[in-house]
Amino acid sequence: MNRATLILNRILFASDTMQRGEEALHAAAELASQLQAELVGLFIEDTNLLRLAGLPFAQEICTSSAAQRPLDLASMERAMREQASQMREAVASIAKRRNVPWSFGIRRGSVIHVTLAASEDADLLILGRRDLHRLTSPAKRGALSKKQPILVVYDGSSGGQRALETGEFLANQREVELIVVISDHQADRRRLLDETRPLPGHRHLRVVVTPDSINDIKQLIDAAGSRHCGLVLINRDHRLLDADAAGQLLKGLECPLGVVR
Amino acid sequence: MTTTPLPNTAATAEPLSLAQLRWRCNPQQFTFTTTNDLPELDVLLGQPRALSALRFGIAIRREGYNLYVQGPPGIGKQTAVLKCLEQTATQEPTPSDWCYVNNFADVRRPKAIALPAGQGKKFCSDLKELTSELATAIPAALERDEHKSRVQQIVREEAERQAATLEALSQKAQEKSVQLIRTPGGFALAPLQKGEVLSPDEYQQLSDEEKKKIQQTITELQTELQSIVEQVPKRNKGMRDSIKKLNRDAVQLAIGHLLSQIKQKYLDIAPVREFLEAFEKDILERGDEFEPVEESPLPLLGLGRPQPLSFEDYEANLLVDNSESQGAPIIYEDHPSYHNLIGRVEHESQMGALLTDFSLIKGGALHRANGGYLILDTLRLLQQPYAWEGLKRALYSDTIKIESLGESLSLISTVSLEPEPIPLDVKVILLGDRMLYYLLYDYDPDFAELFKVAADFEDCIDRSEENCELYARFVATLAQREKLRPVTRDAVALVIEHGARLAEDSERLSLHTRTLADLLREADYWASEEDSDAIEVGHIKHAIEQQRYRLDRIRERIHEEIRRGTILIDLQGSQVGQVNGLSVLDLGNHRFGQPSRITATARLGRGEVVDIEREAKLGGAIHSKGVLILGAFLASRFAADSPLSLNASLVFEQSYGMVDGDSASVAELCALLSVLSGVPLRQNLAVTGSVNQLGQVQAIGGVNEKIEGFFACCKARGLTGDQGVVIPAANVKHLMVDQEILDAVSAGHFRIYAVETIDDALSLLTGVPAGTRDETGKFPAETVNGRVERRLSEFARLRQEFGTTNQSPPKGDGNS
Repeated sequence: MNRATLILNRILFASDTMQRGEEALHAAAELASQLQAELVGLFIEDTNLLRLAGLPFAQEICTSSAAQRPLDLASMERAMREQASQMREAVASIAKRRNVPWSFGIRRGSVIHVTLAASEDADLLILGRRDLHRLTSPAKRGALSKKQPILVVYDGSSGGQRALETGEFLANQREVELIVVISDHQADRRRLLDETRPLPGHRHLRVVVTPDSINDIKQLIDAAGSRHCGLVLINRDHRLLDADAAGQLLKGLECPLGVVR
Repeated sequence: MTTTPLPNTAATAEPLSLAQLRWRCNPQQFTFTTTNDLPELDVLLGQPRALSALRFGIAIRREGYNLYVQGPPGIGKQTAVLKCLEQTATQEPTPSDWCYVNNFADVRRPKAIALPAGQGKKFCSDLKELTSELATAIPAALERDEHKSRVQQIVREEAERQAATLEALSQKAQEKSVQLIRTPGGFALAPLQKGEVLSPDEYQQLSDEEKKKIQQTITELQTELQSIVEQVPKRNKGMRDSIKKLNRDAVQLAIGHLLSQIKQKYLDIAPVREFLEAFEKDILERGDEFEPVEESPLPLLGLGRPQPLSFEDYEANLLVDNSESQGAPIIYEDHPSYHNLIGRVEHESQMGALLTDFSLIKGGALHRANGGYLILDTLRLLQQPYAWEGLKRALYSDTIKIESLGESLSLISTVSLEPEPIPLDVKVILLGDRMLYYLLYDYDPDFAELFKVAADFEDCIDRSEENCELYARFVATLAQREKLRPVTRDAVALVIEHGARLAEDSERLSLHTRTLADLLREADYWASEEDSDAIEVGHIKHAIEQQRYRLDRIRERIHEEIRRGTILIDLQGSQVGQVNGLSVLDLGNHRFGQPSRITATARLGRGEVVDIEREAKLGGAIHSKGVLILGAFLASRFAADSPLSLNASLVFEQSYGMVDGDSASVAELCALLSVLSGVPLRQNLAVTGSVNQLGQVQAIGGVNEKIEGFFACCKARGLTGDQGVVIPAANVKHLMVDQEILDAVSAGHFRIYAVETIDDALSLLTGVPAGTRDETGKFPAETVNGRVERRLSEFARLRQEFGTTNQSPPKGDGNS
């Protein structure tokens, strides 16, 4: 693949809630603006929530008041519609501000499955962290913090190459450090290291290649967390990225996740 | 009015001699050649009383002993005050510097700090340097990777602790086939079947037992979940406290040594020490707020964008800087508005809102003069709204409390600053004229309380030989201070003569510094035009002439109209009931005399002398008084034992403005006696002077201008040789007439007579003896008084006849 040309036509932002997706949306919009790509918003109506709301005893414990509140299907659907509307407005607003084309869609199903399926139609998928079991969050940050590095998981594949190019492009644009983690067996390490040299146009880019290989999701989450990364990029066909792993990644990462096709 | 030509009878009185018309300063009495030979006058000429008052007022250190320096503008009050103050102020201690700093406990009430003179500037500079270092050190400390990692660690630990708690609950729920789900508003627990959330249909197909069991399980788990969520605020508070403590420790480590240095430096100044303690406490408390704020994704004109705390809050606002001062300050505030005196709190406009803080407090003249002297012009002070009130309030309270006019008048009640009042120790010196002093004294009770010392400046000094010497040094001092050419001895003598003319008294000399300085400046200019090395007599003369010429347009126009006959003035012949009076027109910086025709008519009546000026509301009170005196004089002299059966009218002909003063009363009485006696009055003489009920002629003002005014008219029509002016004998000492008149008098073309009584004036003006009562108590029949008496007796008889026939006096045109 020619590393000098990076063409990403569609950048997908998918979420089941705007409450936790704002950070990722800003990241997606910024990338779309820099790459002149279309911003695609996708709201996912979580079927598990709808099923729960249909149960007669369904209750919700509010995190803001710790009070119990009964759930019903109609109010859940209304809440989802409201959230979808909010997300559509947010996508439209940010796209207009950044002067990028945009579209928006709603799908119903399991969040992870629908997301991964939708990513087949996009060049880059941006996902917000899913802090399912988290009641306390660090202070909210901007789109992509100017100081926070970008981490790319590189496996030597063509998809990995695209993830690397995307990372190089973005790190160069934002003048932040690019951290490359190698995720393959030891024999190919030297070749992979050679391939991660910065492009001539990105001469001032600081690339740091981690000495250790990443062989599971937990190592990846730890690597991103310890380096205070602002974005993690991984290729869609990476062996680590099955449905379960994607769920774990979104739960564990402190920053948005970018999935490159 | 009848006109009876009379032979030109010689006046009975002798005209005044040349020496009486103008005092001459003899240059020979001086030993110097030019003013360069004279030492500067180191005392204030002719002001021993004012100087004594000034020295006393400056020296006494008691409440309310402020000064009011009174005297006409231009007399040199300010110069004198400054000179007096300069002698004492430099010997006094230099007062403290003052600055305002943030009150960390209540930002609305900034604190005032006094520092030894010169320390304020250093303190502000030290604080600026300190805050500059803090601005780098604190964010750097908070941005250090180790610190951030530690903060992240605390957050992560807490997050993980909470996640673990929820995870444990989630696991426990999983074991009971229940899933913990995140909802839009919080958490919920959903029953599972084959790894999926149980759908409503599937739930309906369950037995009641199974349903009950599921519900029971979920209820138990919900209770546990609720307990976990309820703990969150408390746990978060604990986490925030931990982060705050961590930040505080990091900031303390970063700034501790910096603060120690400055604290050590100002250890001896208690208010600064206290401020630095509060400074440290506040900055440690709020240290984490100095963390840099990352760019907002929605930067809309700065709105909604969190701003990091400004380190400017920790600097100081230097209000009074005495670093360059030596001794007590002497401040002259030439625009004494309320805010310029008291100070103000300024505001900055940000997004349409007006914001302020302690750094926008601006000091006033009272701040700058604190510990010293404040000189103010009284008129300017009183012209500024509420400035007088503000000054009095500050002097009464001995503090300077900065508040806006709106607040002090309770017109606005918006939240603003209330700076801590600063103790005030100042001596205020007001400069003003006498009228303002007496008005303030009478109408403002506070004035007497606060301005107990009055320094009254003399307008003139006696023309003694010694004072002439001093006056010469005074001229020399003015010339030297103004860097003018030296003034020759003859020119100095002329300046001294001019000083007597300005004083309107040949026995006194004017002390009006500004006028004399102006004359010297202008003479210096004319000397420069002639490339002269010194100011000579000719330059002084030319300067006086030019000053007069520049302002003389109106006089010239009036005299032109007299010459052309538009304004009717007879300068020859005689007329019954008509006399040339003399008046002075005062145009502020210029005044001149002019003759006015005064006429009188008389008829049978009830003893009234009608002042037509007063009836037309064109006469002032003093003029009316003068006319009433005439009636009293007539009654006492001619109708002591019979009714004064006369109606007389007096008028200033062709006068269309206000007439005031009694200096025409001699002329009016002459006109009246002429019309009653039928004896005509000489028109080649003009007369001025006031008269009392006894017929004594009294002194008047502007005698020189009046003589010069009549002389100019005569000269314009051609001097006949018999023209002149009659003045009160009491005014002879005031004579300082122009050289031109002296020349005319010397040549016998013009005369000036001095009279002591109305009879003297009558004799001069009529050429007929006025007459005195003989042994029978009657005036001789052919004298003026005899004729008047006869006429008035005739009026009395006629009136009596009308009375017995019960008829009113006949009405007529008043002409007799």
